[in-house]
Amino acid sequence: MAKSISTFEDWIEFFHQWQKDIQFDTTLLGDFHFEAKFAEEDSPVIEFGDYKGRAKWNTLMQVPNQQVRDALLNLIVYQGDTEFASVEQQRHLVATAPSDYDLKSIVRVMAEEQRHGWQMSYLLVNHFGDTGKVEAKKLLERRSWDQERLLGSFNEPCDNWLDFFVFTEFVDRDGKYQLKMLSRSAFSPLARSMGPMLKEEAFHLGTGHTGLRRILQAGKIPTDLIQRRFNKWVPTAFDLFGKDRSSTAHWAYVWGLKCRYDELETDTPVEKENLNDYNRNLYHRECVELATQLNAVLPTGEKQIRIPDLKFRRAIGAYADQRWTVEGEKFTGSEADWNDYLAANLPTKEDDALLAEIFKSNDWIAPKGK
Amino acid sequence: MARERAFFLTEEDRFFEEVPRLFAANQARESTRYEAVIYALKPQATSDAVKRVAAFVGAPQPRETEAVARALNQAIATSQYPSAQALLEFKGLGIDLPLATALVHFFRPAFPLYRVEAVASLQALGYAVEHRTTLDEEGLGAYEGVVAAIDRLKLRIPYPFVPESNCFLTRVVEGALVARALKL
Repeated sequence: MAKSISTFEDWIEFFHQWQKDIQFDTTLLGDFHFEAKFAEEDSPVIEFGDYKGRAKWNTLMQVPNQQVRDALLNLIVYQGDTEFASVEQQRHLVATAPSDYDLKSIVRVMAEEQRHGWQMSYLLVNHFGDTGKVEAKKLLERRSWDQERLLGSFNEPCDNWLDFFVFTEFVDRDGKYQLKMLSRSAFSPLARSMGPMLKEEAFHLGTGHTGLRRILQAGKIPTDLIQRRFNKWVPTAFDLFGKDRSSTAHWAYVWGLKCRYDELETDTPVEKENLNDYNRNLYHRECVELATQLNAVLPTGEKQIRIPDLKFRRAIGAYADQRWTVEGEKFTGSEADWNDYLAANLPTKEDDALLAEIFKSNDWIAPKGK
Repeated sequence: MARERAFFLTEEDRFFEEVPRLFAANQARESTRYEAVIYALKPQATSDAVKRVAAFVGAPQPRETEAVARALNQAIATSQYPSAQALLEFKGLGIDLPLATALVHFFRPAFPLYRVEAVASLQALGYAVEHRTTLDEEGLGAYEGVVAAIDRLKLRIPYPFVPESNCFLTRVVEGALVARALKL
């Protein structure tokens, strides 16, 4: 195997080695074909930012300056990193799929996440010269379980199928937001990469939402245990949108690289200094609607599941490392009280033990195949 | 190009815009029965699987379900999407082509269900496809035409019109086509 990457074929060799290293069973893929897919151009001209109205850039040479090129490279690297990371997090779950169709679903999700990583690597290798080739190789060298992935959610263990469904419902949903925000990028190869990826992502999100609905229908996993899983994952998904008042997001908008989630649908004037929070709020609203749909499955009188408040357990931004409750109230107790509060509201060893017991029978997820 | 299309909407563009609503309508009609089949199947087909699928499509129960299950396992093992030639495994077992496609669909979801309604909608969208029931070379050719037409729709549908679901895109498009024909 080549020690460094000269062509995309070299990268493909590293990719196959990565599959072996993380013990991904490639025989599960069937006739799934890894390839770079590009949609038709939505618009030949840049649609937002300071270059609005000018022709989109098809090659790196057309990108106006090095700062913009660096920002673009960074966006693609972060996107690619999440794709391979999620496969590392989920790969061991194939052994415990609750049904053959769920097995097909998770294999499909992991295959498509790998294809998304392939797509980002294809851009890096073919458009970004030596730097891009080095970055494409590094995408396959960082490991989620060594906490080397670039974003917090992707270094968290995804221990079981409940985690998988919560992850695909909320963390993959952040992925939908990121992909849509890149789908109007001034860099045409990146923008045209997003349509096929978003179509595939719809299946991942549906898998998460349907899986959670089926779990609630079965009624075997206590809702407070599920709530603790929400409390673990959702704040990490909020963090994925980046810092409040981010200059990186500001510049990415100014340069036409990444827009707002609803850029083409909204008449709201853009607040460039507050983009991450704007998108995070749209995401939060969507999550609350999803929770409402899930709660509709619960029997009357059952405790409802809620989306944690935007302030709870944040690792970045204005509320980072502050003490706020799941409901968004300021926590006023001592440090010891806070640790007790977290212990009561985040997944516990007892939860894991109970889940292991519940997963022994096949009735924890509906339908039961009557 | 999206803007150009906005002024010259084809039947296909209109269909794409309707897919989320149509798919949801079809799900409301049959998702409970569909999910009760698809989540109950094991990797190796059994007589029970054959009976479940036959009941789902409303076909008469095959007389020799074990032989059909063996043929199905062989078809699953040898199928190479998008070729439908593996369905010839069912020849002589007394089942028609739509049931054969359903049996394969539930184990290989990229293969669509072959239904009269979906074919009618494809025809309305301008595709030269037909619905046949006899499991022979001509029938398989007609089914492969439907597979190709649905593939084209999967490729062309813009992402905002792909609804979030735990169904392969093939099923989303096929379900929407059925709902369109049923005027749901």
